[in-house]
Amino acid sequence: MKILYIEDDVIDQKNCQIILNQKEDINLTVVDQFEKAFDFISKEKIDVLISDQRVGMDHFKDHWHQFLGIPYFIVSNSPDENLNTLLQPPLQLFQKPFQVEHSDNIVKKMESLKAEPNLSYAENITEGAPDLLTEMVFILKSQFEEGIDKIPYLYEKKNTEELIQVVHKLISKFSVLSMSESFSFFNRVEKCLRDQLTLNNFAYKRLVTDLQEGLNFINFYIKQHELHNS
Amino acid sequence: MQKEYILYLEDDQIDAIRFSSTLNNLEFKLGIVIKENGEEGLNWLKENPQNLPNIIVLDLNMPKMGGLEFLEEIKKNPLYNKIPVIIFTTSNNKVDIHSTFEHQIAGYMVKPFDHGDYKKMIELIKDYWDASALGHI
Repeated sequence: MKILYIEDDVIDQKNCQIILNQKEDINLTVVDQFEKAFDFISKEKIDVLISDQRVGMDHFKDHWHQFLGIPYFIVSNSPDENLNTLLQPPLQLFQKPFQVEHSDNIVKKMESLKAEPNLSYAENITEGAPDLLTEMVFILKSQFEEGIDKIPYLYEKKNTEELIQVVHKLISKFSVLSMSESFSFFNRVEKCLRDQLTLNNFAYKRLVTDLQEGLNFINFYIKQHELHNS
Repeated sequence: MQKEYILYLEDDQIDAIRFSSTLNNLEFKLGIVIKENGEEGLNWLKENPQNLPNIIVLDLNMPKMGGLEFLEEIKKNPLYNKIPVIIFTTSNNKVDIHSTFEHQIAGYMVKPFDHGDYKKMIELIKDYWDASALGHI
């Protein structure tokens, strides 16, 4: 698990490093400013963000949208419950100092977020109509392929209006595939784009990776059930 | 002649299948006619003046003519303006909600993620119809 920790206090940095380095399979990077964090995530994929609530003169609540799509936890001397009202709230607020139980909670929480795509819902509502299920599956395939194709192009061309439409149309498809995190994420991206908030390019990359995950499953399903597009 | 029915305006094929399959599974007595956008919906109404829908369920984001534009058109037409309209959309945008209620819609429903909640929403449409006086005329 790749974790990015934003903290300007050297003692708090050291404390968190000692605790998290005790866990296997954790790759921790520490930065002392939000700007450095934005730069880091624009180049490298991370799985989790841990951040102090206030870094220097900056407050996390003014920058949350730059971390859209990244699950995050806040560690603070006085955690602000108002952060829970953000469009993408923290998964948990921790009171400093960072402790072993906090790191255990992070691992457990991240495990609970993993959800495999499935088509049981589509199978259920089309029961007795296999042709309808096949039709749904191939439409989903086509829509996901189109999304993967269009999103990078629209992002590059800064065509926000059309990007909003593409993202909007894909939201409900994640419901059909039972991909709840992707459903929430695409919803949030649409809202941020409509509110003209700046998003880090991590968010745009994640739009494509979530679609690719869905598409990989759909292709696997087609192969497994030997479906054919009429 | 079409029996009593819902006119459902939705351009997305998956959402249309999902809606109609859920209705069928609930054994709703109303039939369903699906059109892909507001323009097709208006044309359908014009072509079927003796058999207008009992309820209109409407997505907002559609090509050619979106849901709000369709709503504005039917609400200014005395032939159609009494048909109850329910918005069924993924948008929970406050502007969308306020602007549609200003056109006297019967309800605004946001498509939920959870399948159980989705089915309950469709059941609400069914229950609304069963309970309303319009269903018993």
